[in-house]
This record gives sequence, structure tokens and C-alpha cells, in this order.
Amino acid sequence: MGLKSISLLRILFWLSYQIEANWTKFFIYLIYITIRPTFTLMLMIFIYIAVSAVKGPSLEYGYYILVGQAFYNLIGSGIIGIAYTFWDDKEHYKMLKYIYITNVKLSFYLFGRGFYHFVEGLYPLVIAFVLGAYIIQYPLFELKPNFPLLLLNIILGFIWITALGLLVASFLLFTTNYGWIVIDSVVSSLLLFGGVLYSTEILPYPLNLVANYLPIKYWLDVNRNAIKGIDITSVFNDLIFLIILSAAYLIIALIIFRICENIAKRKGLLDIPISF
Amino acid sequence: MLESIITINLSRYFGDVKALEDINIKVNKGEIFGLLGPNGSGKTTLIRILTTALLPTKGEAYVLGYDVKKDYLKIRKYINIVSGDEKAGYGVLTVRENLWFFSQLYGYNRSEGWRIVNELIEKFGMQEYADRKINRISHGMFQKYNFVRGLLNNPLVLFLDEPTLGLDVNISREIRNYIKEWIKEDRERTVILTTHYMVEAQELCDRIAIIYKGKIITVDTVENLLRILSKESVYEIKTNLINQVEKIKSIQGVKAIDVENDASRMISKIRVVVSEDSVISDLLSFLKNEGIKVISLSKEEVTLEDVFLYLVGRKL
Amino acid sequence: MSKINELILVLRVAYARAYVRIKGVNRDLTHFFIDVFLPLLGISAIILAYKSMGAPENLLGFAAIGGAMIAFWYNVLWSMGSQLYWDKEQGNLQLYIISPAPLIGILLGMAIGGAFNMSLRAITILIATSLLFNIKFNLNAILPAFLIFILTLFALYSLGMIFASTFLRFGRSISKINELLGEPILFFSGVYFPLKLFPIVIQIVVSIIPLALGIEGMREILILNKTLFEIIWILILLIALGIIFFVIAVKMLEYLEKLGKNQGTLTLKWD
Repeated sequence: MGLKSISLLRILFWLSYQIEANWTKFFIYLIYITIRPTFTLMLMIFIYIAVSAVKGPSLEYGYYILVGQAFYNLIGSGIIGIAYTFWDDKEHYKMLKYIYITNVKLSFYLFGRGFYHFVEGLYPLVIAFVLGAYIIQYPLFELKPNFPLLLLNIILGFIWITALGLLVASFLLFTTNYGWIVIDSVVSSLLLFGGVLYSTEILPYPLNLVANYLPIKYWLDVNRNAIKGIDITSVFNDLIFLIILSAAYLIIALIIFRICENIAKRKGLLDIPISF
Repeated sequence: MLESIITINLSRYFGDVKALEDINIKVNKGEIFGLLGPNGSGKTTLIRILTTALLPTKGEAYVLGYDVKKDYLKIRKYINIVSGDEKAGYGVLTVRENLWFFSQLYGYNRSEGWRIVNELIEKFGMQEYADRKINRISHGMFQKYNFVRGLLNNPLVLFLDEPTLGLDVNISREIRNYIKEWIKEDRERTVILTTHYMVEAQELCDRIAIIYKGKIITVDTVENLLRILSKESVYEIKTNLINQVEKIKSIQGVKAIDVENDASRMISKIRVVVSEDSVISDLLSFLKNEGIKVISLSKEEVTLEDVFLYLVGRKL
Repeated sequence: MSKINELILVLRVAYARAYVRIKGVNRDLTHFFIDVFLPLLGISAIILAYKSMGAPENLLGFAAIGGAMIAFWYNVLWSMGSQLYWDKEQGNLQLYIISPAPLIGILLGMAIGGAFNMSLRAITILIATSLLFNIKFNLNAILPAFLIFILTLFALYSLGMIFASTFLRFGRSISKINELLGEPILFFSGVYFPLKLFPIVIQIVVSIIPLALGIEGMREILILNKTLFEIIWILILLIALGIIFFVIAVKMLEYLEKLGKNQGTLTLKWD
């Protein structure tokens, strides 16, 4: 990535921040972005609490859901960040055509915008995680996170989440009023098939096979282990598979996005807002 | 009662901003009454008060003899509004369904509503797209639908706010013809029209109020307004780019001036109202002394635009 | 206008506004399918999570009922609370204002239309969840459950009418407010878990949320086989909330219209 790209990335980061946050003060914005992920996490960990109330606590389940949901929120933030940005720019702000005729690649523009949302999602993740751990009485101080592994995994997460965001954006080039629905379907499917709240093994055949080809499953497992401080060798296979899947998703996403972009250009859909 | 609208010292302030001040107008029944003024001049505020959507700060306003402050419910039965820059309606419904929905706001029963809507669709030749969703029709079709929506309650006072904004020449003409026919059908009716198009105002309005910075500058018929400049002359001069507008204004006999600069072609178009033809030679000498090249010069017919420029000091 | 004529006009306007909602939303059946399919993905995940932990059957039913009711809350926020704001942006609100139609008729129609649309979806979601995960409901108690359901909608959509009048003043920040209210209220309504998990003080506080009361009432009847008499407090609270919210909504609307006319905010977009 050259200096120009880094400078552009900085501008896109700033732009995204302005669009998302300039309606209020920074402090209020911080609270605002925390509320939704925190309450979504609470909704899920109370499922665990409901079962614990009947069957007695099983902290491992609690931890599974806690990490799963906290990081799932980040996935949502990342995918929605790219796909919604795209949809909003095209349909609402009607900016897409102006961006398109600059010498910035559309995929890079979306990558930059998505990067902001991903980074923004990290803050509520930490807050929600700590609060959730407190509620389920998980001994936080016993955790010895393997930070290098966690950082590597977060970078991998950014790659495959961006890839999924780009794939969704490819569809959005052609949809009319279904923008949100496409985005929601992808994000909800990940909750169902991604090993967020339960192990994917309990999914009926052949749905459990679908899960094996989703990076989210490995990504969450590596996260669960990395936070506990488990050595990289224990998750080596998962990590390798995750790297391969992330790379594959990104390459496929870039190819599909390029193809869809060309089709949309041929059909004249790039500069026509369809839904508003 | 002869007048459909009367305002007496009508004023409206938004904090320190005086949007309207001491407006006194009388609009007669059977009249198309134009409000001409640039953006922010107060014409929209005036319409908002007359359509009962906004209360005046002081003064009085009566529509069909009813007080806008106290009798607003009575007024609402007899008025309607068509706004050229609005997309009122529900995109998920067809033209016919939207019209029916709006008819229900005026107390028609269901079948009566459908009957009126179907009649209007036929009368205005909208059958072809009456069953298409309104977010799938062209701007021209939409504006026609919007106009018909304004007639649903058979209003006695119809407010038209830039009704032909952004429309092509043919549809604009069609809508202008509807307006003329509609008012002719019943002399109890009144139209209040705001427009940016001087030609439209000139063609449609019986009388025009020129409104600027919240005040009525003058109210008169188009003929009388044009007569204001009966002794003056209007010239259009094309020169290379100039920035000496203030200096030109100070030349004796120059009554009003408007300069349009076309930076890409390096040309200025000067429209100037002068007290007599001889003033133009003073103006040309001035330009020569300033080293400005004159490309063309022509004497023009006086238009409403020139009257506006003369009275207000700027173009609409 | 006499009171009777005014009432007739309110009802006519309400009917017409409800017609817009029902006809508009159900014209394209894919909307219906999507509205059922998407929540089903989320509810299925919750039920599978319960199953993976070996939760008792009751909790599965609890999640199914709560999950089916979520759509109402989003509908109240996005299609009631924000609606007058969208109407203002679109130019519809000024046409409402200058017509003789009382705004309460418009709001009532929005509520009836929205509640009808969402009910079709919620019932379908409930049936689908029941079939997919073999969840048993006490079908003999359908009528009392329906009564609770209707009262919940009355209270919930009356609250929606209050939102509609209030939110109109927030302008563009409206989507932020909706987002802030979305998940917290779902959490405090215990959509996926029993309210009894909350400390008693919170349980008392959340009983002003119609969604929480309604979900709790329907669970008690359809899953725990309680009679209407045994949960009479829920019934009374729902009726009281419905009436209180409705009266507040009417008063607020009157106040709002007056304020809007004085300050010119009701049709501000026009400037």
C-alpha cells in the first residue's frame, strides 16, 4: 500500500467518522455506539442465565456465548459498514457516481469506509465483553490473553468481513428496495450457521457442512482460545484454515464485485438511485 | 363578499428574522393572484399562514371571510395546495389509490371518493398511468397527479407553489391551461400562484404582488406593472468580463442593472434600465474609458423581469 | 363540525390510512416472505442455543413467543415513531395539516394498518417456529391469549402514537433515537428469556412496557397453562396503559399541532 493509499484511507476514515458522528459530541457518540451492541449481547447472555437458573451455571457455555456474541457484533458492524455505506451512497446521498468517476477504485473506497466501521466496532466490543463477563460472573482476571494471536485474528477477521461486505455490496448494485434485507439476511445467517451461540455440530445435516466453509466458525474459535491465552500451536489448524478461507473469500469477493460493477455499468445502474 | 383573501398588517417573525412585515393585500374571487419574489422573500411564509399551517405573529388574515387563527377548521375544507417541489403521496400506491387516499381526508365516503377520483382521472387524461405506482411515473406525470390531488376537494382557494417547476415546455403549458380553465369554470374560485417563471406569471396572473424581504413592494395588474417602465428603456449589452457594476450604477440615468458573468466564455451580459436612450451613450463611454470591449448592444422590450429588477434592485 | 361528524371523519381517515399501509405492504408478497424469513433465522438461532444447553422445553416456547413479538416493537419505532417525520420530509404532513382531517385519524390508521400487517407476520412466525422445533402451545387457551395480544397491541401502538408526535420534533436524529430504543427495550421486555430473571425492582419498572407485559401474559397462558384470572394483573395493567397512552397521545398531538403552528416547525421543510 503506497503513501497515496494510506492518505486516502485516512480521508475515508475521517469521512466515515463525520457521517456517523458529527450529529453529536464525541462523548455522547461513544455512549451511543455502545448501547446497541451491549444490549444485543445482554439479550444473548440472558439465554445462558435463563438455563443456568434451571440447571445451574456452566461458565464454559457462558464464555462461549459471551465471546461469540461480542465478536459477532463486530462482524455486523463491519459488513453493515461496507454494504450500508455503499447502499446509502448510491441511493440516499447519490454520491456513488461522483466517487466512481474519480480515480479511486470503488472497492478501495468501500474498503476504506468499512475499515472505519470495523475499528469503531472494537470499542463497544470491549465494553460489552467486560460487562457481560461481570453479569455471568466469569473470572476475567484469570484470562491471560495471547495478544499477538488475538491481533492476528482480528486482522484476519477484517479481511473476511470486508470480503463479505463487498459480496453484499455486489448484490446491492442490482437490488431495488431490498438493500437492508440482503444485508440482514447475510448477518442473520451468520448468527445461525456461524457457531456464535452454539457449536455448529448441533446443526442438522447438511447445514452443519455449510458452517465448515464459513470463516466465522474458525475465527470465533480462535478468538475464544486467544482470549484465554492458549498457545498458537493449539489452534494452528483452525488458524491455517481461516487464513486460506479469508484469502479465498477476499479474492472471490473482488472478482465478483468487479464483474457486478461491469454489468451494472453496462446496464447503466451505477448512477441511478433505484429505491428512494 | 368580493374578496377571498384579506390580510391586515400581517406579520410573522422567526426570532429576530422578520419573515413578513405589515402585509396588506386583498385578493378577489375569480382572480389568479401571483406572488413574485426571490427565495426567502416571505412568499412561502405568507402561503403557510393562509393555508393555516402557521400562525401570524401579529396582524390578521382572512380566507373566505374566516380568520386563519380561529376558524382554521372551516378554512381547510375550502382550500388546497399544489407544490412543485414536493413528492407528496405514497410510493407503494398507484396514482388512483393515492388520489383516493387524499380524497378521504376531505370527508367523502369511500365510494364517493373513488367516483370523484375516477372522474378526475378521465377528465385530465391520466388513464394510461392511473394504475401505476407513483414512484414509477415521470416528473411530468407526477406533477399532473399532484395538480389533480389539489382539486380533489373542489377547493375555492387553490394555492399553487411553483406548480411547473422543472417541467418541460409542453407539460408546463398543459398545466397552465388547466389553471386557466379551472378558474373560468367558477368565478367563486381563486388561485394564489408563486412562480419563478416571469412568463408564467405574465400569462396567468390577473394581478401580481412583488414581495421582497418580507414586504410587499407593489401590487398591480401585469399591464400596470409594465407601465411603470413606460418612459424608461431597457438595453442588453454584451462585453468582455466586467466588475464595475457599482460604478455603472452611479452613472446618472441608470435606474437598474443586472450583470450575468459567463467566466468560461469571458463574457458579461449587462441588462440595464435607463431613464432615456441618451444615457446609453454615457454608459458606452464609461465602458470604453474602462477599457471594456463591447461585443453587442440591443434595445429590448420591457418585461416583468425588468420591472422586478427596477423595483427590487435585483433579478428574481 | 359536530362531534359525530368529526368522529366519522376520524374513522374515515383512519380507514384510508390503514388501507395505504395494508395495501402498500402486502401488494408484493416477497415482502411478507422476507418479513417472516428474516426473524425466523434469529429465533431459530436462539432456540438452537437453548437446545444446545439442554434447556427445558418451556424456554423454547418462551423464545418463540418473544421472538414473534419483536417485529411489533420495530414497527412501532420505525413505522409509527418516525412516520410523521418521513411524511413531513415527503410533503405529506403539510397536506394533512391543511386538510380538515384530524391528525389523530392519520395516526390511528397507521397504527391499525401496522398492527394488522405485523399480526399476520407474527402469527406466521409463531406457527413456523412451532412446526420447525416442535414447540407445543396450549391451544385451548387461544382466546384469552388473543385478548392479551389485542390489548398489548392497543397499548403498544398508543405508545407508538406518542412517539410519532414526540419524534417529529427530533428531526434528522430520529433514526439515532430509534436505534437507541430498539435493543434496550427488547432486552427489558425479555423477548428471549423470562422476565423473572430480572431483580424484582426491574420487573416492576418494566411493567410499563406493553411489549414486556404482553409477552409475559401470552407465555403464562400459552406455555404455562395459566388462566386469565391468574394473570389478571397483566390484563388490568395493559388496559390501563392502553388508555393512558392513548389519552396522552391525543393530548400531545393537539399540543404539537399548536406548537408547530406557532413556531412553524410542522411544515418547516417548506422554507
